[in-house]
Amino acid sequence: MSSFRKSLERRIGRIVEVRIGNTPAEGGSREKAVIVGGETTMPYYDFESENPRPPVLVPMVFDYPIKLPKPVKEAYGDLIKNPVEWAKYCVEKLKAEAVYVQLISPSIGVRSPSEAVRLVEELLQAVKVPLVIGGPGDPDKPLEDAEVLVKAAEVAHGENCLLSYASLDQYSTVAKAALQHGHSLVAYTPTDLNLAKQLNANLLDMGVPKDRIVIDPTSAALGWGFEYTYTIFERIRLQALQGDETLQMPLLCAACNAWTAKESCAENPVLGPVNVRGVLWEAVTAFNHILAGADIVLMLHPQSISLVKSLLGRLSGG
Amino acid sequence: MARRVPAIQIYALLPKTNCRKCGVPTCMAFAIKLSAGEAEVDACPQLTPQNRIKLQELLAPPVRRIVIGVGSRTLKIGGEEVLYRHEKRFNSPTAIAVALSDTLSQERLKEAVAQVASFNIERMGQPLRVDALAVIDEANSPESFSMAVELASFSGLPLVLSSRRPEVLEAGLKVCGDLRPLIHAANSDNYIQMVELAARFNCPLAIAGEGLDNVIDVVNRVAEFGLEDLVLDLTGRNPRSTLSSLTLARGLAVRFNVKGFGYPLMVFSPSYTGYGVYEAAILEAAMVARYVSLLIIPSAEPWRLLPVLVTRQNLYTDPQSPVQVKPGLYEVNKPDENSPVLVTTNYALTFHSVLEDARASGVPCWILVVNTEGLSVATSIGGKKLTADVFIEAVKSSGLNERIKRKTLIIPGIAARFKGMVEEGTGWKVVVGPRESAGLTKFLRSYAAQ
Repeated sequence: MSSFRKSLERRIGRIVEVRIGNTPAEGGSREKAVIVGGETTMPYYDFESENPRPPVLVPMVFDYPIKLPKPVKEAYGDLIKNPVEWAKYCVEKLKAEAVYVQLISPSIGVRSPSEAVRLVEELLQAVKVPLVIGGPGDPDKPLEDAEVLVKAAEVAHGENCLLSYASLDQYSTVAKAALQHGHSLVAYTPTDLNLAKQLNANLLDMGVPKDRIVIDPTSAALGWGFEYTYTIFERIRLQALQGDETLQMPLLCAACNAWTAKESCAENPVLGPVNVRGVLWEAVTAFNHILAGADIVLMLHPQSISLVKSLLGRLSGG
Repeated sequence: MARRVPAIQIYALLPKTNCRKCGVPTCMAFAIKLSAGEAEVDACPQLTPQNRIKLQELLAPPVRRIVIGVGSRTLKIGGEEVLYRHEKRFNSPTAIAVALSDTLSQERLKEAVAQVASFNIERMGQPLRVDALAVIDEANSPESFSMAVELASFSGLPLVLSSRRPEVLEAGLKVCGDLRPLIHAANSDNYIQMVELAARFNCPLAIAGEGLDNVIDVVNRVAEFGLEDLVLDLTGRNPRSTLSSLTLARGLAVRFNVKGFGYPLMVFSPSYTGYGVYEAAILEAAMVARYVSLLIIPSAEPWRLLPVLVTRQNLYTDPQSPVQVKPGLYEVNKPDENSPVLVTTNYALTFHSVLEDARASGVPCWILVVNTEGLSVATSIGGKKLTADVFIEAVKSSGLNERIKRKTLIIPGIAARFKGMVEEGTGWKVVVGPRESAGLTKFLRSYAAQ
């Protein structure tokens, strides 16, 4: 170990610890809660101090077989048609500590919000890890997300799920549901530090506790706007550690966006086999955001997940 | 923030004649430009030699600039001033060198050299290349080493010569000493001979050690000989200590002006310490994000190198201004007077996506790029930088009215609302294209089929 110990900046802030999932003792039915956050410095600034825990990688399942990138589809096979079995697979085979479920069917019009959230009830029975619940996610219909999340919050009462997401358009509806039914929420803003600050301030004003908020400041695929999102992650975390209370929450990265990059799915003999390219693209997108402060990383391909997970383990000396 | 020398301190060293030969009206104005990094000291023709040296030292970036190689593919690394991109752009993109072992057969060496020298993937209008070759002494034989160095030198790429044995390095330097290779590496045991070699052949020298304490110790000893063109090899026992050392060394240089760390930093890929090819690639990208100036990797398969190169391409752009292309008219697939005209913005990412997808369709067409100050279609519509008037003005000023007979404009799907106004304002037929560039290939093919 080097004798050089030095703080590169004044760090007076600490990232709050957010717990996701309630155990029976806390009024829920999860076997174990997931804790994220708690940092006192930037990732791998070991000369300043060591952060308490590595980030959590969260596999994603969808309530309707949407069009997924070919390598992802091939990796999961028929599980894609059965979200309950898919989630079980994530927990049993991928050792996921939490599972993300996105309820997209109301957006396509195949199920009403009330019908769609039945899956949440089924998942709460089928797996014992905490759930992250995503609304349909159509950027043009933020209110639809709120409607689905409110229904999901009701059926998962007391389980402390992480609801994704509250935005500047509909945060009060989502926040009320989260408070009423004992959940945490993701505060989503489109690639703008000041908007992220504003949304958090609004949520805190409404009485949402700081340790019930996770920031999603948008994460772009490597090569497709990644430089913007990397720098926003970094600035949010630096400002938080320098004492900005409205930003002292864990960060969420949707590394699954890596699959929107041409490099991860397009056939191109010059660039080599497409299946390995996509896996690596998602893993690098994930790890680069982890370097900038990501605490929760949503990921699609099972191989990308195990790759980043084993790497994080090795880096932690495990 | 980036360290700035106060203009007043610079002004004190200027001639104060206000001769205007530097291009600004007064010496004070020139001092302000120098302070902001917007002018070069040499622009002043009246500086005394002493003051020129003083000024150059005063304004030198906290991380020294080092030149490796000679001729057309000279490599410049270092010159960094900040720890974070939002403070100021990073200056010199990480150089990537592919390692060649001198135990390889001549045939294999030739193949590898040719592969690396021709490696070039064009992305967003920029070439993504491998920057250098590193010849590694594994045979423990001056003859094998000099033979490998000679083959590598035919590539024209800058070279890194790596060995712990001065006699092996000397054999290599006798072959390519005039090409200014980087000598790797001096440590606490061999630094006297290494300094001698670096001085004799006038080459930059890498310093390697176990941990930052050891590295700085060797740097200080080498500095006593007056050697200044140094690169620090911070490859640690494991990638975590490497990441941490890279960050601390750069931080000490730019935040605290610790001179001993004010040099470009290099590392060997984690492939060399038992990491698999995927894990190594992820960590290499991480090291690019965390300040490495020269990265040595074992091989250059595009699929594992691409994410590293794209991380570099992304993070070394200027965060203050989006990457832009020149507004105007671009040809795709040899268009003529009957070909349709696609309209898009001058954000490089948008333009190059449209260009690639239009090319892939095989359909001849024009791309008319309008100036949105580097914003994407969605952002520029949101910010009112892209309006019906902007489309209309772009068509008018492009000279298209005279060149094109079959006047058809294809606008982005997100801009569909402008269709009517643009038709009215230009007299052209307006077709609404796909919302995403990815849909363009199919769209153009079915358009052409009609």
